[in-house]
Amino acid sequence: MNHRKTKGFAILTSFVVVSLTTCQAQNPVTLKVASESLVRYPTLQPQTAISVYLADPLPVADLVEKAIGADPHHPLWDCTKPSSYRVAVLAKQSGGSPKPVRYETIMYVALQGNDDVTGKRLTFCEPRHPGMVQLIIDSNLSNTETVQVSLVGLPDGLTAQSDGKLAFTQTGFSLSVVPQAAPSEKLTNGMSRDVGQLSLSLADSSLFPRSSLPLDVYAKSKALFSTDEKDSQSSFSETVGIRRGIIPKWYTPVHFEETIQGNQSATSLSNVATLGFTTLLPWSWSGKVFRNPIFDAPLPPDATVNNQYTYRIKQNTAPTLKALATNDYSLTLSFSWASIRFPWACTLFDWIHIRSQNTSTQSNSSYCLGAELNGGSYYLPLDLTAAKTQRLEGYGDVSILLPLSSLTSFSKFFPFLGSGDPAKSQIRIKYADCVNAANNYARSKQWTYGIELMK
Amino acid sequence: MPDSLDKRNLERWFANLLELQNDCSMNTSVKDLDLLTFANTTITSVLPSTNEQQQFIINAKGAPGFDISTADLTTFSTFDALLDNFSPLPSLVGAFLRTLAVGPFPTGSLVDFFKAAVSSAFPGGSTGTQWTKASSQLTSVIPAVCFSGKLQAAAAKTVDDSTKAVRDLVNQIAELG
Repeated sequence: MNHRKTKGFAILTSFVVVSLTTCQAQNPVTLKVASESLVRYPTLQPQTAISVYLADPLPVADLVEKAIGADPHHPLWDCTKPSSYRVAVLAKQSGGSPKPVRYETIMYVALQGNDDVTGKRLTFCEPRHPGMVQLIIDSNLSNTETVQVSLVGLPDGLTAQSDGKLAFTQTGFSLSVVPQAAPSEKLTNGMSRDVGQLSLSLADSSLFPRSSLPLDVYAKSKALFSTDEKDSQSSFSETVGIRRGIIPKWYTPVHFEETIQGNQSATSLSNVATLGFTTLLPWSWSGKVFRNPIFDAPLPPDATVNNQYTYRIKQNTAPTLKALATNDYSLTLSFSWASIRFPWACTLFDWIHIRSQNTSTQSNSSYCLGAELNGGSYYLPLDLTAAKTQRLEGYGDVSILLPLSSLTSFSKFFPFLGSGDPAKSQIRIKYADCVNAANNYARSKQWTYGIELMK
Repeated sequence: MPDSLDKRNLERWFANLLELQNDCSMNTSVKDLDLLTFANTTITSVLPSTNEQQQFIINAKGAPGFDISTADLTTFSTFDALLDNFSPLPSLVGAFLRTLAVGPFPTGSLVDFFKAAVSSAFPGGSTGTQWTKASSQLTSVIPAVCFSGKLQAAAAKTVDDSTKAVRDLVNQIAELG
């Protein structure tokens, strides 16, 4: 063999081997990913995101450190660009493993964390900061599809991809069906009797999740059907509404709703247009007034204000009820004030030796007896009372709450009730004075006793 | 390199925890909690209503700059777990300890460092120069309530145990207490 040829062959062979070694892809590192259903404020529009973890598990943290390189401001792999990721939608093939059927468009990459210097959202990645990025996608995934995320453009033959098992579940839809017994329920003919009731609630918090509208469109349906059609509490309401926040940094969603409501037999039927808002009351001032050993209310009441125009299509003409204006206006205020505690009760329970010594979180250590208040009013300026004054209907309920974990006897026999959050298992004694707007403001009063167990 | 990127990352985790505590300002009882108690508090116990949870999500978007979903508040039951989801404390503690270890570890991979014996990363045990320096650095970065004397003593015991890996030490410190 010619010596020069042999040497040339050897050099060529070495070059090929070196090239192959350099270009050979390393085993892919498995990315940890998760799906997120976010709601953007103030538009209240839902948004689908994929969380990609860049600092966990450790092989990913190592890979990302190498991929960024020595200068995070001039990275070898740029974590901020949508083109640095690929989201493949996989579908099950008959008799085979899932295969990519399309690629999702990544609208933008949201880095999770702020810049130490500017205090604003990060615009570059350093090793382990941020620990996670969210890929915002315009998703229309079906139940049979899963997603696989890959990092694209990594240097030095590095590869990383998720296991392809990420699935998305549609959220925002809820259904509740609750049968209940109501002893001595008041009827619209003035009588009372024991009745059975079925409470139904159906809601879709976003009817058009992929729309470009700067607000959310929703629908909800609520009904209470009774075994006696004259039950003063029987009602139904079908609502379509729009909502969005108005104050960017304070949760204040404004809503406009159109509702058809009535009683079970539709002898009362009305169309209600509502404009209102819900908010939390500012509460930082309250510490000195509402936080003491007698009365402890660390959380503010939720408040809702509604302006309602009601067109009454039909009214219940029962003799016990006075007819209301056909075209009516009402201003309704309502509030819900939960998490009220009475710290003195713990001292009392200790003194009479009925308090359990179970450990609880410090934030709940003073919770031995609590209360919950809900209330509101309907101001009806166009409806006059018998005394010719403008009508005002108030309503409300008060609940006394006794956490089972605070009682020795319960903790002894049902230890699982005594552990964890005391608010998860409690005795509720409730008195309610209600008016039913769907049934010409029929009034009823009711005591309820029960044990609540929440998972 | 005490003032490394990894030191800032670890300091930032606790700064973020404090920001999450401030984000719960609508509950006036939260500001009374020390940082460790707050970290282990069940989120929904201090933010029970939808309005309070939504306000917290808005606040957290501003600082520390996290996009939190409503589901996150129940999926990650405590604030510690929630923050770990966005910035995993064990990785940060491990990366910081790696900068304080001997030999090739500071320039090596985190995977190898976590697998290594504690005695090889911090020779001389809890009284050795390397661990004394590392422990001192940790106490300067982690608030005292989260790295108490008791936890420091437990960590020192792990450093003295030749059968333990760095992973054990890191997980012990990242438990906080």
